[in-house]
Amino acid sequence: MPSRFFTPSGSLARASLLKMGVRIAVVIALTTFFSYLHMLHTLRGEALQQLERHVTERSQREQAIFLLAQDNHTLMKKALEARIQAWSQQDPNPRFDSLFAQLPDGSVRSRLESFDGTRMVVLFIPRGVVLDTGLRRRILAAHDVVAQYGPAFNARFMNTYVTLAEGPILLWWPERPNWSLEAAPDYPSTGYDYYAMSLPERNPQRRTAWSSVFLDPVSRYWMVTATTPLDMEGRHVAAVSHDVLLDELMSRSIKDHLPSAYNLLVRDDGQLIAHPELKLEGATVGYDIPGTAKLAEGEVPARLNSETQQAHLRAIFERLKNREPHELILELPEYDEHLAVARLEGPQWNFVTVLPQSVVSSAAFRSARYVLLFGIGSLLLELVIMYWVMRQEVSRPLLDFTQATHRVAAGDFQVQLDTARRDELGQLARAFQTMSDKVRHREEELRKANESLEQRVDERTRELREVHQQLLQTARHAGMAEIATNVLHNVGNVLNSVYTSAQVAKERVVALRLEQVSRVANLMQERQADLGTFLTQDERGRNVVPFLGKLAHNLLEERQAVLALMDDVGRYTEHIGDIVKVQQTHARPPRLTEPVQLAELVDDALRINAAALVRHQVRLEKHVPVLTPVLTDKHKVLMILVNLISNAKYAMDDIPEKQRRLSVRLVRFSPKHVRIEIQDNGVGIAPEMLTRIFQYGFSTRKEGHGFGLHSSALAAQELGGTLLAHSEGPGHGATFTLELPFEPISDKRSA
Amino acid sequence: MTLSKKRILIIDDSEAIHLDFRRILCPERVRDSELDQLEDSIFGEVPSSRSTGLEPFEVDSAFQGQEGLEKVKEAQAHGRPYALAFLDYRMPPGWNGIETLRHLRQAAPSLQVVLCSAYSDYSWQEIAQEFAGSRLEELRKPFNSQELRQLAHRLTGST
Repeated sequence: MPSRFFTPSGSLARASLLKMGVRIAVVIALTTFFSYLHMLHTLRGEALQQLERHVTERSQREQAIFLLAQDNHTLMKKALEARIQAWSQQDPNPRFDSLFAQLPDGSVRSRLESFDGTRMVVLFIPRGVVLDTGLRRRILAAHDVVAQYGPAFNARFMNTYVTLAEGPILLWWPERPNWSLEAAPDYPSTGYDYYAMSLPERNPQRRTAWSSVFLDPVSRYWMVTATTPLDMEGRHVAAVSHDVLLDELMSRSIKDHLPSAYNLLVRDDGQLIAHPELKLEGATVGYDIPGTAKLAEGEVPARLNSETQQAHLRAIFERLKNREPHELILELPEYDEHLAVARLEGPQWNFVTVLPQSVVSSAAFRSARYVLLFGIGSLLLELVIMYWVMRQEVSRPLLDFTQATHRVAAGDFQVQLDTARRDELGQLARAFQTMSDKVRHREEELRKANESLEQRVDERTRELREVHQQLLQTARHAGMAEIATNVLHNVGNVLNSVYTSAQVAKERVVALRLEQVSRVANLMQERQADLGTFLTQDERGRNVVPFLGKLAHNLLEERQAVLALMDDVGRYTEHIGDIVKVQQTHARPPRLTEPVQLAELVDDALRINAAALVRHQVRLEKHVPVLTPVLTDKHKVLMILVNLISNAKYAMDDIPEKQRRLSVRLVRFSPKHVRIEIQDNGVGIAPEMLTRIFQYGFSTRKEGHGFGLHSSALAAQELGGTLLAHSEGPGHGATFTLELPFEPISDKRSA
Repeated sequence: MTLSKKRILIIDDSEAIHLDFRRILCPERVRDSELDQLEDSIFGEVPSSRSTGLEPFEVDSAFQGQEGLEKVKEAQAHGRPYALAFLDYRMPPGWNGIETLRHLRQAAPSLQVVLCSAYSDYSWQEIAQEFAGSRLEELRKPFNSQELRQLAHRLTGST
């Protein structure tokens, strides 16, 4: 019945697991935190490396286009120069006229009848251009070169064209075969930026240059142009160009980006070449980041989505401008971004990849989360395993111990514990086993010792009971002796008075002058003859009559005195009779209950002590109503009362005679009990003495036996009552109360 | 009237006993001198038939041992010591006879003492042993008046 046993409110296993769990959790939290930091650091490094790599690769790829354009143009320049020289000795007109014709609008274009723009180089000459032979030769030379190289370059460049300094344009653009036909007759072929870039004042190094973004008014394409000038004999002759569509550039540079990053192209002067959010609809010129470029009339710049974006872009541009020459990775702390920059040498463009830092930190955070989840998972698993192990290895054995302890406490020493274990618990179990065995052994011995002890105690108790009975008997006899001593002393004293009175009376009777009467009678008889003369005349005779009168008076007096003495004798004798009668009535041994009139008993007790009370001038206050007789041991009650009254009398010896007062009251204080109170105003009893006075052999008087109160209390108990003492302390008198069961006589008799 | 009266001290807790002693040792009966004269004038002198006059005892009372001792000391101080003391054995609550006797022996070693008791709850032998050599007699109650008178006369030395 394990439910009976005390089950601990706090489990050891649970407490240990809790502590362990908390510690492990702290370790996991720290691990997670440090792994997050580590991941952040690592991932950041990796991301930046990747960024750097990406930017480098991409810039190299972009660079490749420019280098290719540069190479193409170098090749074409040489070819054009050679061709122009080759044409300088020939007549250009027949060929020129077969290919081109002047239109009514004044412009010169490829002849329509034999023209196929998808396979052929087209020509456009705005009106007003003077077509001299030299120019015609150069046009045909340029035509040959474009026709020769255009298709070859078509794989990487959609078009190839040569613009001559006088205005003619020779164009290979198979996707736009009708470009020369669509161009307006006054199309300012040398007025656009892509050509102006090749002018010596704009391009002193005479290198391949790239235009800004612009909208081709003919094809309505957004594009940039690479242009390389050709000078012959110190004079700017022509410009060789490739167009690159912005769409193409966008799809290559912008749309192909790192995850969560975006790319943009910006020129050194702030011209935004490409940006994912750049809005070109309705615009005619590109977007200028600083906003300082002057707009010509009718030009509409491209836009960005919002002011925020413009500011953002401005911040990026500022950061770019202020960077160190070889710095590849920049930080933009106010936007939490990393910038990777690569400069394209030819066009003075910057390829920029913008990577938000949150990409790096969130990746680190994700990794840390895995660590955390894994840690928590391991923690729970560890706790479960630990719980199981502790339950098996610690809690269960401990519970066994607890139950064993309870069994031992309950007195069952048959304890079975697992003592086979080799660890501390096994050691404990063995120790416990040994202990319980020893306790059992001792218990056994103790039980045996107890049994014999009980036997011995029984014997002693029996002996004590016998001794007590004897003592009781002795005490009773002693109580009787007390009464007898009192009686004998009192009787002896009274008897002395009787004897003395009787003797004195006798002496007085003997001394009576009765013989004088006879002597007078004799004298008078002698003088009978002259009696009259003798009584009147004779000297002796004259005295006879007065003598007789005196004598009579004397005799009467003496008789009175003797009578008084005899009265004393009678009184004293009666007193002795009383004492003896009381003694005879109460001193005889029958101890049977009999109908007793308590009031009479109280009177008897007072009578026994009467002489002493009178001698000591004790004033008696008696309130003893006559009650129904009760069945009790008359002798015992009397003995108690005599003792109490005697004690009270002694107690008042030290106070002045006139103040001595003894109060005796008989009270029926409940239907079943009656009380007799003996109260004196004597020396009183100290509180510590109130119980001692009932002890056997205790007495405050030299000649006292110390049996009185002891035997009285015993007798009261035997009567089924109690004897109590009460006192306010020394000098305040004392009250002894004898309480007896009140059993009306009628009930007993009918029974 | 020649000598001063012999002084006797009664030490007893019972008044009746004192009365008894006085009745025996100091009879209150006063001789009627007028009657005596008349008798003499009629019958002539008859000295033998008449007592010697007043009893030669002056009786004092003490009701406790302590009081008795005080009176004995006082009497000695006034130069009128008691010739004899009657001492009761039982005198509760104070000293009993033996205790009182010890004190008396210290205060007045030569005082003649008669120890009296109505009930012999002591051993006379032991007492006699303790107070051997001192002037001590025993008187049993009830006592005979003649015997007492003789005892008093004998012990006080007055015939």
